[in-house]
Amino acid sequence: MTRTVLFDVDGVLVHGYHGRPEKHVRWNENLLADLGVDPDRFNREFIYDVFVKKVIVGQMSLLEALDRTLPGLGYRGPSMAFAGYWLSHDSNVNQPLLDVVARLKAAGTTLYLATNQEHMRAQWLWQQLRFGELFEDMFHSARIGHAKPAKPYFDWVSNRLGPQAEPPLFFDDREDIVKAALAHGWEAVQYESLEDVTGHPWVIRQLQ
Amino acid sequence: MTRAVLFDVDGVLVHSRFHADEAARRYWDEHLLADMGVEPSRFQALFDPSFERVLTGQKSLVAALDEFLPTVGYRGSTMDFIGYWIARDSHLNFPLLEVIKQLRSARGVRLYMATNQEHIRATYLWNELKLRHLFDDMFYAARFGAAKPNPEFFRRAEELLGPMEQKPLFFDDSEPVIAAANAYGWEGVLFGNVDDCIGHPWIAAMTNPAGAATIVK
Repeated sequence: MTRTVLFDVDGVLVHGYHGRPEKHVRWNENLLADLGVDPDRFNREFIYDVFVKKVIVGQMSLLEALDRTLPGLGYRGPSMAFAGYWLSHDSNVNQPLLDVVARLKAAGTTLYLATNQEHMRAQWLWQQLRFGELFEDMFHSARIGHAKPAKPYFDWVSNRLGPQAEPPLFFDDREDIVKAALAHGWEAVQYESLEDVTGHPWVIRQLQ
Repeated sequence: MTRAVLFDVDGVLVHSRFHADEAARRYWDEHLLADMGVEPSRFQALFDPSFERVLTGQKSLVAALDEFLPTVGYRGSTMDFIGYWIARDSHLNFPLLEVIKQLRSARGVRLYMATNQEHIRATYLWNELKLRHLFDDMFYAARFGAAKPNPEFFRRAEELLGPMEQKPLFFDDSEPVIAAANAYGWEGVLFGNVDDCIGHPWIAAMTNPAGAATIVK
């Protein structure tokens, strides 16, 4: 019996922000030395602003947003180069988890990505990081026009998945998203470490 | 004394299916039916006037293909289809890249791409085909919200180029685009093959050290 399993990307399949500081992996720790942009200002004035509000839901492209913001942060180079630096540095994949994902796939599990992501990095993850070899499809927020935990995001994905014999199983590192997924009728598990996947009863059975 | 030199992508830096000379045409979709189950001629229906919205960034390529691919019989992942496409639509014009490498080492030349492109393929050209190693920046339609020959495209490009002593020199394979560039005040050159670039007097001077010295004088 196959079951649909969905994984979040950042904080799950790719290391990034983590609630426990010692597990937090930063792509931007050398951003000031390398590109002259202060990472805290970048987070404050770009990520938690236009990026979250417009870019990840596909209302503004990453490039346009960078073109508008970077000069004010002191960056004078081409935004394309900045974007390229970001993509290549924000690629610290969680290899042990990807190995588990590969075993799930080999066991016949139908796997999807469910991530708040704009288009450039979505395609990068799919094609350059080869997530496309493990997953059936990628449901990213810019494609859908809504980001997790908004209800229309989950409605779109459910519509795409079609009728399911069992509720989809979903791993995400954000508590509010896990709550929204549970409310949507999925089995959602908050991911903090590999054991949250390998210790899950259904995963254990599937990999036996 | 610096001059900006700009190159179009499809039909210039990358060989295209639309070359006037049939022998020079190159196709990315020769095996599309065998590989993805899509008839190449049916796929071309994607490029109707509504595709302009994708090129200018008003609609994402993923959303457009999510709608379109089921109508041509494709049931797989849209992301896979895009990956297949952009990896193959990449027949670089190697003799032209050689000229560009020479220009890159000439003093006072800044090199740019100027292309009607959506974001995903633009990213691929820049990062995966590594055109970032040859060009200073990439100007493309989805970034500007305007496609060539719309003068807004040239205006946005000039904004990023900054003040210049000489007219930008621009190679493109489209006559209407060249006419629009010239009308805007650029030096537009219609590109059919690499000789149109090599044979241009300013390019010839810059890629020939003796000639470059003459121009600097």
